[in-house]
Amino acid sequence: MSPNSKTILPEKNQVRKKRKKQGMWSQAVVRLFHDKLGMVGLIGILALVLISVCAPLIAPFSPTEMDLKFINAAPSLAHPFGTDALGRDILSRLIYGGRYSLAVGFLASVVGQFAALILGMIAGYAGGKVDNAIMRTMDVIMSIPATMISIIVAMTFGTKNFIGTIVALGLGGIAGGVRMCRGLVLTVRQEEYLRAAQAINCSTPRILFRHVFPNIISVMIIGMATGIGNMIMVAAGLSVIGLGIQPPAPEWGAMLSAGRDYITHYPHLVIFPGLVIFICVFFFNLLGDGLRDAIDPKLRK
Amino acid sequence: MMSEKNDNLLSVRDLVVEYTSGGEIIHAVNGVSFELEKGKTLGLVGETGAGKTTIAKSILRVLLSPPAKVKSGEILLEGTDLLKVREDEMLKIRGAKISMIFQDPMTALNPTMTIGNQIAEGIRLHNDVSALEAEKMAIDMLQSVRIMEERFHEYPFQFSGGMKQRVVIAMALACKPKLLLADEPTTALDVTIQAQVLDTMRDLRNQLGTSMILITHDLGIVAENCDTVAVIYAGQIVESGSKEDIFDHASHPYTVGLFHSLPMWAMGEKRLHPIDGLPPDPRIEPNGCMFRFRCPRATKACEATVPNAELTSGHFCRCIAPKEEV
Amino acid sequence: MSAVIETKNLKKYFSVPGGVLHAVDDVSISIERGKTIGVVGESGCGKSTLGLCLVHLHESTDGQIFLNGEDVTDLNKRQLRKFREKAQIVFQDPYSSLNPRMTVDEIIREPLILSRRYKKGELDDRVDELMELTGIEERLAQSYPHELDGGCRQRIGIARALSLDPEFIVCDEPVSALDVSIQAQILNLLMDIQEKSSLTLMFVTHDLSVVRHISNSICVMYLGQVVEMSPTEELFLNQLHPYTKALMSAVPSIDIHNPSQRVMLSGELTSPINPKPGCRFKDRCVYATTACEEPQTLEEITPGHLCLCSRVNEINQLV
Repeated sequence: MSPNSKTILPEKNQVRKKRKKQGMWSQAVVRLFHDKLGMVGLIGILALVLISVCAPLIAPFSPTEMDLKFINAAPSLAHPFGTDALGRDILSRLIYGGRYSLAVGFLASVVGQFAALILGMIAGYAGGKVDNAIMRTMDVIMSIPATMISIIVAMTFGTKNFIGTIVALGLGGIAGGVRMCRGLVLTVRQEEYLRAAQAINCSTPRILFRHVFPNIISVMIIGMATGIGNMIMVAAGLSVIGLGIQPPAPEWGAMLSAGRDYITHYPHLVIFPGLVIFICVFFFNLLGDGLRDAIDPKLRK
Repeated sequence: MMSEKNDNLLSVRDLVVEYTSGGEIIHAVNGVSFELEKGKTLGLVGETGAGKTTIAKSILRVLLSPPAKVKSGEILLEGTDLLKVREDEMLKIRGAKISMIFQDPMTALNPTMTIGNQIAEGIRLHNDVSALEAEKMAIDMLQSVRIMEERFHEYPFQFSGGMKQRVVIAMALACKPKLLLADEPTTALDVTIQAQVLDTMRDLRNQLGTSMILITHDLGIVAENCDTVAVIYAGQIVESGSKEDIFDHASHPYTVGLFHSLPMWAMGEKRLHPIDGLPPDPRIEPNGCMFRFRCPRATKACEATVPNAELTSGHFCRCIAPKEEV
Repeated sequence: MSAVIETKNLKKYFSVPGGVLHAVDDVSISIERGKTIGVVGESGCGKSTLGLCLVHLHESTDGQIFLNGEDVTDLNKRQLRKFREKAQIVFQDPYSSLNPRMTVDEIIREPLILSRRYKKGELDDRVDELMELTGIEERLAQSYPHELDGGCRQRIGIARALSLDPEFIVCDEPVSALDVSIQAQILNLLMDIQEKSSLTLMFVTHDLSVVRHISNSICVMYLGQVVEMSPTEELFLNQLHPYTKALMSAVPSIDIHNPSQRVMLSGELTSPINPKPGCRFKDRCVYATTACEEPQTLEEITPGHLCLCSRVNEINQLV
């Protein structure tokens, strides 16, 4: 059985190239398209993104333009969602605010999940002392509320800007992700295909990236998608207590925060930003569930 | 189809069960009929996916619906059609008249209850007895599966696999059911333990006069435990008859193939004789003989509906060219 | 003929809560080129651990392993790479032994790439050759394992193990998850391959009828120890150890006119954790006496037939 003991006819090689590989991702996309609720989430999010991107074309006013004649004005034809304490059009601010909120939510979730993936893979695969060190640290982090972590990170680095907020949010929610990832790695470690990989001389990095990673990434992506909504909420929470993105940037949470002083007399200052955050988080959760069913039908139930 | 007898405990007639999965129909059971006499054991033999477990679950009416659906057929237990019985009456039948043993004993035992209480609970559910009496009966039951009384108050995790399966047997037989459905009861066990468990089961059944349907893929277990045998392929009984009919006069090419695949059959020969190919896709609408794709005797005529011919009294074979092969 | 693989007093202990688990205890076996040894025993007897030690997926605690006469007990990274091209393994569970995110082609190709033995152009040919050898249809090359049946998956596992032309393969219960008709296909495949390339096999299984068919010699294990070892036919004619007798008789016979005469064992497998010296089978053995408390040695009773029982002669009335 030497490598060249058999001659292969040329057409056979052509067949090989023509074979279409239907990967797990294309199958997942097909399944997602058949999931009604998942599609509602996806379309809703795409619409929100589109609105944010095209904000200058859609918004009736500039988000920072103050009209002192209309302070805390109730919804009207000119200002469908009313105006805030500085006379800015709330609708326009919400439309522009999506740029911050969606980006913050998405990036924070990606950053957090990515860090969790790396730490979790190391902890789960290395085991022993390394595992212990990482996991006990995560236990400590977990015993503090995620928002609190974000606050500590935000305060320590004095970050009241965009990137600072993302890092603060991402690290705040990391412990759950690390735990999940480690659990997944431990499950995969039990599988015989990892032993088989060892038996054919796979190096440890290769085992991690070729055999472990593809089998846990789908769950991590699902975690990320469902995490975005949560991140938007925490970001809003940070803004409410005066950390995170600062005025006059029209971030949704910041708007909510600014409105709370007037809540009894001018509820529309709070209602509309709150409603938008709620709808956005809802869409992300629908998409997350849809993705979960699409990527890994086994997880359904 | 089969001759009507008065001492039949169970007769299943033209049972058809389908599953729906992702918009497609899976034809799991395609017109199965068989009879079981009182006190006898019927062996249901077949490979993975042949529909054995689905038949048992249909009898006990524990199929998850959807996705499963009993399309047609009758399941007569002493003349009552179980498929037409109301759910609240079925509750009284399950456990009391029919009980089932599954392959994995762990799924049948509640890990948070002592095994004694689990058996006693089943007894009290179906019999009007006091807690003390139930406990006594449970201890008797445990002893009859050769588990000491002292272990009454222990939890399932304190038992080994074989012991657990014996506890499950005690539970299943505690209410002296008329019919026991045993679905691969020893597949998860080692051979020496399997021998013990089967032995216990046989003794206890003889004592109580319970009839049994034994589902297995192991022809050796059938040979030692069953009176009659039904061989299932692709949701149909392809051959049925007494143990002697099947083991001495196997006539359906699938039954013959099953025997010939066994390493014991090829004693002294270098090569084994597998059945070529794979079982048919259960999504295909059943037509003609479903074994024809793998059958060495297949001809064009096999595409037509194949009658279930009676070769000798009680020996049925669903093949147009039944033939014994050595 | 010389032994391809040989172990001397191989031991594998695991420390577990409650003591030391003697998974493999003092096992010495040797397999000649082109032959098959069957290792049988019940779950927990250490047969799979023995197999895993032989291919260095477990590191043995004590004892030696030889491949073609060369000591391969302790290997550095480079030696281990070389060793694994010669000693391979086929796993029990065809569902868990294949990475669900890799196609058939990728699974078979991976060891070839890692070995760096093949040029780019040759890789495709070699994959095709292996698929043909193991009877995997070419159209399945881009399928994922979950789309295939158990038999086909096991063929992939075999193709992967064969890819680097090993001299020795451990088959760890390769057919126990398969239906009989498919099982026969896979057993035939293994025997055909062995015939073609004079492969040496260790066949770990609990199924006596399978080992009887495939192996030249059989080694029966009980709680980490080899209790009996003999050429296959001899063992089936003449079992010496009481455990082997019970094990053989427990297999249900398909001959309805001659049911097996059962030697029923009382009790179940005792724990392999901190075993006492003396016979490990004595608690279930019908012949046990105080003599069984003494440490036992594996002795050659008749040529080629070894048994670990101090009362073997009394029991079998050979004297």
